[in-house]
Amino acid sequence: MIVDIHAHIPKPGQHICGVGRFQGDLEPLADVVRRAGVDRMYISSMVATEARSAEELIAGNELAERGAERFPGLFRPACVVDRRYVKASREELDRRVAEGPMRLVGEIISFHTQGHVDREFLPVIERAIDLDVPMLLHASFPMDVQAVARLADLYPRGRFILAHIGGIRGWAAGIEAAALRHNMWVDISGYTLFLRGVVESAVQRVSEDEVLFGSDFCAMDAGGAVQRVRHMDLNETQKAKVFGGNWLSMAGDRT
Amino acid sequence: MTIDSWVMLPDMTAALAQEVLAARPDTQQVGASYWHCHAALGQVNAHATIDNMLAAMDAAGVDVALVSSALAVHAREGEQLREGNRHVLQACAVNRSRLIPALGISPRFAAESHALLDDLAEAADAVGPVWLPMDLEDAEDPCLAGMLERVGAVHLPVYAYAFYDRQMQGVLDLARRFPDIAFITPCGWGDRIDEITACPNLYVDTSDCSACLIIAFGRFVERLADRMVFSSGFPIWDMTVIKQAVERFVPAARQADVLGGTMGRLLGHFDSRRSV
Repeated sequence: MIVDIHAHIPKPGQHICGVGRFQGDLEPLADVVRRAGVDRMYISSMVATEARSAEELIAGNELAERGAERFPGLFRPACVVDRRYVKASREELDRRVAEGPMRLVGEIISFHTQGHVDREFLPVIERAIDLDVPMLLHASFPMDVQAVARLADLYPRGRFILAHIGGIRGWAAGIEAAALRHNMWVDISGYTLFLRGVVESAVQRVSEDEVLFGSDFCAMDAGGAVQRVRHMDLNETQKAKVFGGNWLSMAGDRT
Repeated sequence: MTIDSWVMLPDMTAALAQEVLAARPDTQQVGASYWHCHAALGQVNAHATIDNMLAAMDAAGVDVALVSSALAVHAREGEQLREGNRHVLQACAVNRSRLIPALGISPRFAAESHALLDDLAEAADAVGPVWLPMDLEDAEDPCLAGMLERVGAVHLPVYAYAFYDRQMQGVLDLARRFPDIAFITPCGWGDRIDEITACPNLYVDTSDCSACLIIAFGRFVERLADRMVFSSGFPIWDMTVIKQAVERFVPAARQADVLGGTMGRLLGHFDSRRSV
């Protein structure tokens, strides 16, 4: 089973290669995702991840939830929170996770300043932990990795997924940080997935049980991401774990 | 004929990779981080033997690869530039009909670069694009101008890698100053697509997984398919995955050009000695 834990719905009007101009209907996306070989995809809306207001954050999460409702076997909605909109983030967790269908928080893009998570945002993190949902946090730089590692250290009960293994500039730091922490996983989505050797290194040095498949669709090609893992220097057991086994183990029965 | 316009020998040493990274602590040197990965991990070095390169080409359906050297494009000393280019020539000698050398020059190493350009002027065998340094600092360097004039005289295209906006500005400046030279650079994120479109001698390639960066690639396909060349950046990037992405996203009518026709014309159009 292939579970893609890191994917996005485009913003309305956005043109996506292989999909066309997104008008709000998830059918064309579903078609591309199925052809890519993905069985289940966790989606957040780029309206939420790039929110310019609390209203956009809420609207984006609503788009993800409504969109996933139409494709219950394929799409699962993920709840975005944002340090700039603490009150709305708390309310979204209550509405969409505690009382709603969402079982993944993320992708959280805005969660730290210079590597330090804002104090005001910690209650949002704590709420997600109380709700026992994993959190997917964006990383491009070593400083992002540092912030995620700090959270993992601060909250041993929390489950923190480092997106992109730490990113183009942070993957080496990401591997080292995740290797040292039992409550830190890495997702392989994005550029780093396509760099030969990085995912293999993560499997070897973090753990073959803590590496999660993600494509970063609709920014990146889901089909290419699946093919990339199929071609990797990993054995079939490791590929199966990365593709979905690790997520199903980590996320528990509720998926 | 399918041509992969960028296949690289991962001959960069771990020590050089560390040096290049240390020189750019602001982590702007993303290109070097790739090579650091592979020099340090050793995984690509082990994988990218010439036999494996040819096997990857067979698996991907690639007929010809233009081979360059990681050591040459990151060279900090003249001898490294020379050595990298030597590696390329030796590698391509294994299978001259399928592996074409794409050699590096650098304004930092004038003697070595001009010696290479002397050789290129006399080359009897097919040669690929000339590579500029991956961290080219100064597109205004007068040494570079002299070298590019010589490259122009032998009608070879020039690979000018750009990942960041600052680098892209340098590439655009070069393309405008040397309108008779074809410059090639990765598609990237598309921030400067309008300027690239307005520069008729600037070509884009699909390496750095640009073809999988679907949020931007569609705009390049729409506007620049006639100036797009397939390249994978093997062994860092997966040749088959990149080629399949090109086949998925480039309209059928354009694929033959993107997959080899355009690069074939860039290399062979002006000089029958360099027919690919």
